[in-house]
Amino acid sequence: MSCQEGQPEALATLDFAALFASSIHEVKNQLFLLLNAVEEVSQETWVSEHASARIALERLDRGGCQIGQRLTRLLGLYRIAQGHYQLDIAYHEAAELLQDVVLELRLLQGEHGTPELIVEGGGALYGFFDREIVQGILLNAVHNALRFCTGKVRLSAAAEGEDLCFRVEDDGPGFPPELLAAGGVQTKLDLRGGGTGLGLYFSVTTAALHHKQGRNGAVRLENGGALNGAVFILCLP
Amino acid sequence: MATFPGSRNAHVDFQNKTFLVVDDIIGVRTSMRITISTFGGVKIDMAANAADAINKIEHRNYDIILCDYSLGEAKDGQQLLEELKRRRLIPNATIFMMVTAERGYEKVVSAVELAPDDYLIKPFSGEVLRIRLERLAHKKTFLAPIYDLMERQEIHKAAEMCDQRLQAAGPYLLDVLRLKGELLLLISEFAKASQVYEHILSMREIPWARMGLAQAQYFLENYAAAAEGFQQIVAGHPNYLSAYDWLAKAYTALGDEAGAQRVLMEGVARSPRTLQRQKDLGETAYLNEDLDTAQGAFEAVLEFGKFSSFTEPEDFANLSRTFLDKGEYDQALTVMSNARKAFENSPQVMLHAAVMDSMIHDKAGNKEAAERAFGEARVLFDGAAKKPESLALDMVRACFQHGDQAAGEEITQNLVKNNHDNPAVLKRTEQMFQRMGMHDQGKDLIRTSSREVIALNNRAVKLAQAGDLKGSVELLMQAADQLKANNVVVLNAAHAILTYLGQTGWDERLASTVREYLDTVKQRDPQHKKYLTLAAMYKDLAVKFGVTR
Repeated sequence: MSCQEGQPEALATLDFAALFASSIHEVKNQLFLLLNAVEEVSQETWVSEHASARIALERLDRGGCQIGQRLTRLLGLYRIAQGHYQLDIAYHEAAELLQDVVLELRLLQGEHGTPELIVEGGGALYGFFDREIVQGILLNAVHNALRFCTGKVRLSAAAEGEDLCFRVEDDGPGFPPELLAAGGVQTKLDLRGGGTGLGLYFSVTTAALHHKQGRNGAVRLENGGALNGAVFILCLP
Repeated sequence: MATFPGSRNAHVDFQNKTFLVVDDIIGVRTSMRITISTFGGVKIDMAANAADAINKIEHRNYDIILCDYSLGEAKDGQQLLEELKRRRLIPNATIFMMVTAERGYEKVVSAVELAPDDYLIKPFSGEVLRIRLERLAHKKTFLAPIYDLMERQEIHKAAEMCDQRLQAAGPYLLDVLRLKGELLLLISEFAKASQVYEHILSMREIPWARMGLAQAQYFLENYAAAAEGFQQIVAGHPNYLSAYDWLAKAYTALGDEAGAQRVLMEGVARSPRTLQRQKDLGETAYLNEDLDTAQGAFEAVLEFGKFSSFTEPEDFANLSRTFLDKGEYDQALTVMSNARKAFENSPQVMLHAAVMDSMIHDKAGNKEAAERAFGEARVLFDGAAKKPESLALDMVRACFQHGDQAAGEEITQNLVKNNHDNPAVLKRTEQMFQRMGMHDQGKDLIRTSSREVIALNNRAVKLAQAGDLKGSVELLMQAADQLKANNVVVLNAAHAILTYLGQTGWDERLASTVREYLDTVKQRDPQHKKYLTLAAMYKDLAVKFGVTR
């Protein structure tokens, strides 16, 4: 069908962003039902007896979860752009959040071999933040670290002044200089190099939604750190 | 790590926990059962919708309820939670976890006063669910001593227990502070409640804390500050619907009925199905002489309440009265005829209908039908056990329309005496007289009647101050027996007796009178602040004098 001339009026006035958002939403719901089916099959006794079936199902589950997380981030950005995003600021222990992140990772990890994940700090350390958002930011950072590390990733939380700071460090080659040039601060989507940079963009945007008395949450990128590689830092006021 | 009960590394045995899974999709229910079984849960019941869930909860105690936010056509998960809490079907110790596929659900969760204990966003694994439930179980165990006192209505002690728990609060600091604030509001310690909420707000701007502070300010009669707080919530969290209702109340208290109506209309636009808000809007609009808005709101009450048990004959009368004032007599009659059908000619609805019919027929010029209905109304009204204020007002108006001045005045006096401290009722009474073109006469009636109650109260206080506690008690008991519907008078009498007992010792006859007074108020308003205080006072006295019953 050619729409060169006289593009249908209905199509021209269509709000594609809204259409995409609601489609993504539906896809996410369907994905959940599919993942349920996968989990159901995984419980069958014959599956445990067939290594190839088990591995295939695990891959399905892992891939599905990752798709789900990406869609969630997209929907999150859409809501923020629409001004509909309502932060759910509550009081959480940093250690519990780290536990949640590791839990999600255990489900997703695997294809990168088994790098060592060091988790430190966060006990008896509390902060006010949106749990889902911070978990999403850290998951994304740890995924990146797992991709570039040579053997170790360190996930930690500590108080810095009045802020609560989370760090994700790896022993890889570090961030490329052009990314660090802007002080590690990315303010627009970087579509180069295959990746969309969506993860980092999401992190910067949502970190900034946390604020207290004029101070905002922020993301910083550095090289060096405890493992002499890339260092991702999320600080929340 | 501390080893107080509820220590967070203690193991939770899910095998002995009872689960209820609420989801409208059978496939999801089945897979939830599988998920729960992965961490040992075996006692699992299923419900397909809110009604099914309520039915099951009424017959069995559940430790953990996992509820999907979207439950198909009927009530959603949030509405289910609200009904469970309002009807006190689940104790505080029960874990209510909301499950949702939609990140945006947080808009609702983070915005409402009544939040679930936690929520989970699909998809999630059994391991994530287990960890979340374990954390909640530990939190509930930590808070259990406070919950126990709350279940026993020992609110003062529960608030004290919060202070003890605050010393070891750690991860539950905010939960304990929130409970403490709510408990202090319950026992009318508004200044202390303000402090708690201000403390929280100094750490972070959290909508429910802002709400608590504004409520405390409202009860401290600092209406301007309260209105400002509620406004702030509405502006920042437009889905925090109860903030609209409170803002409207604050405006009403400030005398700004038009502002109250505007805010209620905003709230109704966001959530048209909340019956109480529609009802408030109808009444406020009626007071503002905006009969079209009143009609719309009262119609919505009937429409959305059609299949619930929450509509009453009064709701039909509200709509019928609006039509009557608009001069639409046929409509007004039809509404009451529908009411008779809806309530199957119950005595209550027959009374409402007779009163309305007598006024409508009179205005429409059917004198004979009007007289017949009025005669019926008189008989039914005298014999009625329950006389809501709006019914009494309609009856007064019918009496004056039919030239029965004496009856009209008597009913007005009773109404005012039983509500002498209720500005809303007094205002509606005055306005009704104004509508009938009898403004001055109405104001006189209201003034003299409420003065009588106040004078009686003052006499009792004077007697007490002069040392004649017994005389004071007798006077207040007389007043309470005459004005059984007046919570303030009945509770004042109970208070006086308790003070008297405290000084002179236990007297079973007087004590049983106190119990009767407290029960009267409890039935009408179980959360009445002064009732709660006095109920605690009674318990303490009984303990002091070693009376156990």
